[in-house]
Amino acid sequence: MYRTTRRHTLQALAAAICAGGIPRGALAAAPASTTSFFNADETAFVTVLADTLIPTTDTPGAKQAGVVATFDGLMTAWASAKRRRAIKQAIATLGRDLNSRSGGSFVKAARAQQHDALAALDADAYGSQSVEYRDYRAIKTLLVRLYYASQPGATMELRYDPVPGLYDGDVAFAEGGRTWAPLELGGIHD
Amino acid sequence: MTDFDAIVVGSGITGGWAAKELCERGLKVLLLERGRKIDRATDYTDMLAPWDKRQLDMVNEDEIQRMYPVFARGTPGGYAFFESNKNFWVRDDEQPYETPQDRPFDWVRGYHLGGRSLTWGRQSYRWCEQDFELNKLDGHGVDWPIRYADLAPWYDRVEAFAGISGTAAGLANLPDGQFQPGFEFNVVEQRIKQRLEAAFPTRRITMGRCAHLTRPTEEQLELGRSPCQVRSLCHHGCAFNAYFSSLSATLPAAERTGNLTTVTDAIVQALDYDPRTRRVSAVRVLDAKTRVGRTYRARIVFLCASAIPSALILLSSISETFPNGLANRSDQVGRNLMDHVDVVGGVHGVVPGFLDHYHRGIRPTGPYIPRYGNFTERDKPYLRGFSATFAAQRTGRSPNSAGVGAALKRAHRDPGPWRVAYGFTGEQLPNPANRISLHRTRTDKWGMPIPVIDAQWGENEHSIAREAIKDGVALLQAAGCVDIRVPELRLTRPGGRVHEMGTARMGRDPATSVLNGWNQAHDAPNLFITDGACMTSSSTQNPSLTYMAITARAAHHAADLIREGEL
Repeated sequence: MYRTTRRHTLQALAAAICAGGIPRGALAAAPASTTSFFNADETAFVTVLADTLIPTTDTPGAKQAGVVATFDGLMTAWASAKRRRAIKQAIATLGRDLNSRSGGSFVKAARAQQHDALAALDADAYGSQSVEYRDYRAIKTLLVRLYYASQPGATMELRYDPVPGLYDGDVAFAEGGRTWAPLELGGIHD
Repeated sequence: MTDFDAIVVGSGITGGWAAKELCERGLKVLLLERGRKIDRATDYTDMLAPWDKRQLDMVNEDEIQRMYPVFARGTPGGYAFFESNKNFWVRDDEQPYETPQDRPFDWVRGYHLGGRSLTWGRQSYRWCEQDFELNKLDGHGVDWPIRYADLAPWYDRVEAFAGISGTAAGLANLPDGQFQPGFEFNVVEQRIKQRLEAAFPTRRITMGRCAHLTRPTEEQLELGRSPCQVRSLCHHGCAFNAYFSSLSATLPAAERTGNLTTVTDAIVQALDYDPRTRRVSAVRVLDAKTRVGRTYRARIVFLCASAIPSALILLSSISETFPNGLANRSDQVGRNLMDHVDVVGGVHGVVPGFLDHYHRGIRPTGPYIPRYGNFTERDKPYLRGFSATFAAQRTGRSPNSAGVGAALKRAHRDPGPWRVAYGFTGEQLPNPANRISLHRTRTDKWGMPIPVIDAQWGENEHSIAREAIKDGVALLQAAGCVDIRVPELRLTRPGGRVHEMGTARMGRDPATSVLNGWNQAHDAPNLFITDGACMTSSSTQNPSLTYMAITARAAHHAADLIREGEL
């Protein structure tokens, strides 16, 4: 292990850029009016989907972490025209599937029912790995990536260390007990 | 009557070194960079938190297809391409090139102050004695006019200035250098190393050597550099100036002398040759923004524009003496283009256990196995060989995994098993048929002919790739890995490792080479070429450290010749 010779300065720098606490603004759920890709119904659905997929536990969930807004932004800024069409269709298909698994309306069902419906779909999707569930897996992958790139996801669910200062090849896992948050994100391919 | 003592074309890894060494020798140097100026304060994006990076830092899909087709089709050189640093990469649609239909080439470029020294992989290895001898031994290419002993003191010099982290290992096929403390093996890699060296005593493993400060010298601190913070965000620029680049090290040193003039947005179109003096007499430049032409004169010119552009400049410099391109009596300019061979995907496995252990920090290098093929191991189905790397880490749970709800969150807190990844770097034999040339009709937006790049892998490269993968599987098996995944054997495209070189090679004979043992053009003694173009063979090491040493050596020789009144 090689300590820096200027650890104090660098720790100060790290503190300045590291999240010491979660600003209240980061936790506001995105209201429907701020989405530009998803319409009002789609936004309502994606909100419940994200919230069920990654709920609030002892840490904020996807909804509180603003994942609906960042998902919407991702579709607007990153997705190709082809992918945007595909996602719209996939959301619609997913909505119908979850509605049927919830006995009518996924967004209006009770939380426990929403969870059970999504859990059953997820089990089918990963059990069979079939093409039928490819769109669900793609949407899920994006939502999960967006969550763990968010401030609560990276700093509260995972361990965020933006300026490690050294490489230690053998730390006791029990010391931190959690996965390190990645500092690098997507790049070219999703 | 000259404007400057020296003109350096290009501000990347070698241009920065030429500028520094020549300035420090008291020469007035003009540095010409075809791209824009970079402002570290605003252009570096390493300090962005993940949640401040838009769109998961992914470049818009339609934009990639339209503007960056080489990245769009997948290439190892795309490892460092993000939305937040896309300004460090050339748009292929703005600066096109052509290849034959069935022989694609991945040309990955960065045209801006500092060039690809901002985005390079920083892995820094010396060549060994045998590497310089292989052309002579097996007859491919021409003999290098220098040997390891000629370069050794210059490796010392550039390593000490650049700051190379490494661990001395006493290996004949990987000479030790001037090192700052090396990074450590993690607990699983240590176990793999022990098992591997027991199973294969002819294969040695040492920690990778990389251009990262771990114990900066006073000189480095004075240049405003500080130790590596182990984030591996280098290709975004580094606020700590911890890795070596023209911007972090050589250009600041050059500027301190007061002898450097830097002009950006200056595209060199051609060099003028004066047959009476038998010297390069002027450098013709086109302003990239205004399209106004300018001419600069100097006693010496260092071409450091990177292998392909340097050769293009020579091919574009037509005169009565050189109808084939400046300094091209040998007809080797543009020929013998080499890269390193690799395959798509690596070999992967899982080491069971060690779940009580984890790592901390994102290390910018990893375990390295220098070439053992045709060194400590003979009777190979290939000439020369490859170097290899592996790394073990707990990579975290894939987002595309089963589970929802609170269970999903719990599962992601677990970084998962120790995964091992193996890769290799294979030498490409020099072949004069692999070449770049000027398009007969098509020009770029500045009216300059676009390059045609015609290169393909030969049988030896295919053989190296097959054997390297086999050896990778054996490595993972000896390491005790389970779930070993072998990629379908698909070679990367030439150019994909971004180590293109060879297009104005050094040699002993002016009939078969462009440069002499001092990197002077045989045909024009005040012209020096020290970027990848000068390389007579490609070896298996990441080449930039060797480019730096060659450049420093040539620059001091050039300064000596000026002092002695020869140039």
